[in-house]
Amino acid sequence: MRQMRASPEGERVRTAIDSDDLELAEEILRSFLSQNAEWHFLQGRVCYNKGWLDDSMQYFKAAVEMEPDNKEYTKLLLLMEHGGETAYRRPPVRRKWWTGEDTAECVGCAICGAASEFFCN
Amino acid sequence: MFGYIRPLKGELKVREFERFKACYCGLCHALGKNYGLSARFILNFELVFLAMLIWDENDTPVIKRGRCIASPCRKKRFCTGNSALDTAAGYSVILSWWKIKDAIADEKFIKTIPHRAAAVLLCRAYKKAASDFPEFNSKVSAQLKSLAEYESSGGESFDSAADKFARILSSVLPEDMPESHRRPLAELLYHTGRWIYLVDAYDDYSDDVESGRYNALLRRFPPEDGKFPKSGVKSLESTLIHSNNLISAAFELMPQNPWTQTVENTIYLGMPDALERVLNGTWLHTKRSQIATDKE
Repeated sequence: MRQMRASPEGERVRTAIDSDDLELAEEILRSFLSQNAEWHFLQGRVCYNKGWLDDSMQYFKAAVEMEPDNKEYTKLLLLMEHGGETAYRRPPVRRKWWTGEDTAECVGCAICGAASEFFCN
Repeated sequence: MFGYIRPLKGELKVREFERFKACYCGLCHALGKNYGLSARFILNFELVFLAMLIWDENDTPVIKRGRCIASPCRKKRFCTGNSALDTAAGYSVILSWWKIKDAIADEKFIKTIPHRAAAVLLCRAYKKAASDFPEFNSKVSAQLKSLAEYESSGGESFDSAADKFARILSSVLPEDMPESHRRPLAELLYHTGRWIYLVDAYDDYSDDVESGRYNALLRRFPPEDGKFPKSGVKSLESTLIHSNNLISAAFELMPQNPWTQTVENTIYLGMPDALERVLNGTWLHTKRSQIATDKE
């Protein structure tokens, strides 16, 4: 697994997304010369920030298909596939009435790590 | 309007359930007082949820007892004198009016007769609500027009269709609300709108396939034997759970108000329960039996 370096245009898109300027991010994405893995990944992030979760997932899948070794892309796809379970999520506590035990369990995977990397910075 | 957004009754404390019923009755009273008798028939759970969300954190609910058209013999408890209820009542009339108009435009004349009758009954109430909340009225009309255009063009992305509906809900926030409250509430309402639109699209899927009407999920999940494909249920469930998770995350950032426990129950338990029942096909049965027990 490796973390790819972003292109200069990609960096500009990331900055625009981080400052919530999605129109600018889309404008820069339209000027990309090729629709490569990075383009799909960034398009997915724009869709995510707009709340278009299914479109976003399709873009992340395409990015991972193009660059299956990219750690950043695979982590975010994993997060999407698990319905965006984030560190903020407080699972409903449903107790087994006969023992009083909690039934909510932590699945102990990379989801929390991926979530905090992307959404808590 | 849809009825999907309601608390899970069995997990509410008795006093919370009593207060929730008072809020529900309070919205009905606000509709009757502000917009006349006919407006009371458009009462729905979604707008009770909205009233609880926009309720001022410093306003303790004032509960009175009284008779009404639905309970002429026995006095019932209802919340009164709160601006959140008046706002939700006005928004309710506006949303119902445009939903009726939309149905009249979409269906054949014969099928629109009940809608036309409802439009005549609601006309005066709508005029008053539109003058009380002109900005919301113009936003709803613009978003529904844009949604109708998208639907008639056979739009492919269900996210894009849901976005137009979700923006209606996220546009209800007052201008003077502080940014720290506004942002999480806008996110919460946006994803609630998206969730309602997609759950309703799934619920109507088979009927829409049969009648040839537009359904936002048709392009992404083509039908198998006239029904929603089994292979697509997991994807749809995953994206709806994701919206539910974003609603929960936004809710955790909001200040507490007198309805926090009930709203928390609705988001963490009521919505997942409704989703599970809609997806396994038992929703209609649950809805009828719940309404029957709530009336007791």
